[in-house]
Amino acid sequence: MPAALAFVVLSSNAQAHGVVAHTVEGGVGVRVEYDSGHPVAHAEARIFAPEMPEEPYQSGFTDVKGFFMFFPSKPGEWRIEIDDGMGHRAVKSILMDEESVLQDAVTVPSRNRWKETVMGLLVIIALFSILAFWMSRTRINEKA
Amino acid sequence: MHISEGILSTPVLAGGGVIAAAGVYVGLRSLNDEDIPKTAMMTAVFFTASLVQVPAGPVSMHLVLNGLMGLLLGWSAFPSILIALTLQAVIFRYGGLTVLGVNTLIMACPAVLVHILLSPFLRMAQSRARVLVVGACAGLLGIAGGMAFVALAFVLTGRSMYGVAGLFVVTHIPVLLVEGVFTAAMVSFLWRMKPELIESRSYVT
Repeated sequence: MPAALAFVVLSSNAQAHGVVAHTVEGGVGVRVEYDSGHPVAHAEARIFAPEMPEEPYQSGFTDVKGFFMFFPSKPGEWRIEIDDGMGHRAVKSILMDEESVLQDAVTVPSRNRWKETVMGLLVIIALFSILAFWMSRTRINEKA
Repeated sequence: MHISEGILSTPVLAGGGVIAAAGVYVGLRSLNDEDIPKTAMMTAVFFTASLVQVPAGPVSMHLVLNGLMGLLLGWSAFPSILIALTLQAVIFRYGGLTVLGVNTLIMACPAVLVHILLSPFLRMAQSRARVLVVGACAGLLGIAGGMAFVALAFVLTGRSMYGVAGLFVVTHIPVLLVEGVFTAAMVSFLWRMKPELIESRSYVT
């Protein structure tokens, strides 16, 4: 099974929060080429997961060299459809076993943010302490 | 509800920054000595509220609490939200520094709107039921107003809202409901236990 370096954007939240990009290893890819040997560049690619033949698991486009990568989430037969929009179409099925999925899966540990949170709270306390001090001094000066 | 960097156009970012600066100026002018501990506390609450992720179906959500800030802080919600968003941008990379003005407007303008529209009703409320209703309306208005400002920022940038509007609204329906319930409960609790927190807010005209 081809393994390569892939770049994915992981976000645990559908709302617009901080979005962090991680470099991960593994994944499955295909390279699509015409019978002339030229890559099928920027063609529409759709991935169908096992037991979900109608709803695409992932969609996108091949790169300039005809590569398209994805990360299978479970074992079974994954189907890849490539369509260059000009009448050329290729379908490829890849059988993933349990071991392959687990071997390639990358778990990104969630960040422990308590230290950063405490730091932020301390900054808030410091800022408002300075503000309170400044306002009390201004009031004393006004009275004087 | 934070908009990330690189999405909005420069005029929208600049205009948002200028208007937010004006709001912060008015907010600082309205700030009294007695209000500083309350404003600091609400800033800390706003800063940390976004870190508590609650699963809601296929997505996760968090409280925004701008409606509650509007009721408790009035115009001081502007500097309070600006400080919290700045720290979130620097520490957690939420939103970004260039989009700070627009994000402040998105969350602080509904807060001030809540203050203007609902604070009088809260002061006049004589029963817990009415306080709950005002609190729920504040929570709903805070989120709905924020959604409207996000849409406005997108439209002014010239981005099509059609692709994201549906997803945005769907993902924020749970936030609307939870925010309404939570704000109502918080306002009711404060009304009974610490009514001076609600009553001490002075109006800026």
